[in-house]
Amino acid sequence: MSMGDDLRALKRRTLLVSAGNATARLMTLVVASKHGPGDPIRFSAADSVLDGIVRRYFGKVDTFKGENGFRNGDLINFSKIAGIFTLILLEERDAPLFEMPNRLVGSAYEGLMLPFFIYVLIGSILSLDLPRVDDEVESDFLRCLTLHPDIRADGDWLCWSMKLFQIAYGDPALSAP
Amino acid sequence: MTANRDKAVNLPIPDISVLKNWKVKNSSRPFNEDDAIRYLSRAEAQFAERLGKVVDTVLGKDETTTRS
Repeated sequence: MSMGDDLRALKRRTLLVSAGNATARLMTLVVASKHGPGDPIRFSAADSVLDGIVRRYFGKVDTFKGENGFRNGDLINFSKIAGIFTLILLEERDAPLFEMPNRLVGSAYEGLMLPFFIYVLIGSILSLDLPRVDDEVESDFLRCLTLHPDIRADGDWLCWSMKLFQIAYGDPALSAP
Repeated sequence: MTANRDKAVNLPIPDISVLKNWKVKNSSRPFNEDDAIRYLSRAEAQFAERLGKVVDTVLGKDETTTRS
C-alpha cells in the first residue's frame, strides 16, 4: 500500500467514525425523548473492524473499476461510493459497531442502528438536503436496509438508487467531473 | 433518395452477447471526506428530526408517545 493509499484509507475511516459517533448520539437523543433518559449508545467499533470495512471497500472499488473498464486515475462518483459503502456495511451487519445500554439490547432501536448509520453516512457523502427528502422515500429506504437480507441489496441497483437519491435531494454537481 | 439508400452501408445486426459488455457511465471529481464531515456537523439536528419521525413510523405513534 502506498502512502497515498494509506491516507485515503485513513480519511474513509475518519468519515466512518464521524458518522458512527453521530448515529450513536442521535439515537441516544431519540430514545431519551420517547422513553426517558438512560445510558448513552456508543460507537465502539474496534480499529480492526473499521480497517476491515475500509479494506473491503477499496477492494470492491477496484473490482468495480476493473469490471467497467476504468482507466488509471478514473474516480468512481459519489453515488457509487455511497452504494459500495452501503453494500459492505450490510454484508458486515454482524460486525460489532455499537455498544447498546442494557435496556436497548434486543430492542427495535438496536435493529435500527446499522440502517440509520448507513443513512447518516450516505447522507453525508451525497450532501442530502434532509428537509426535502420525502417521508415515504426515506422510510422505504430504511425499511429495505433494516430487512436485508430478506430484502436483498444488490450493488448495481444500490449505486443506481444512490444516484437518484443524489439527483432528487442532494447535490449532483458535487460529483460532476 | 434511392441513390442515397444505395450508398448507405448497412451495419451488421449485433449479436445479443454485446449487451453483456455494457459498462456503467462514470467519471467524477475527487470525493472529499472533510466536506462530508462538515455537512454532518451542520445536518445533525436535521438527522435527529428525521430519525424521530422514522421511529414513530416503525413503532407506531401511540406506542412511542407512551413513556416506559
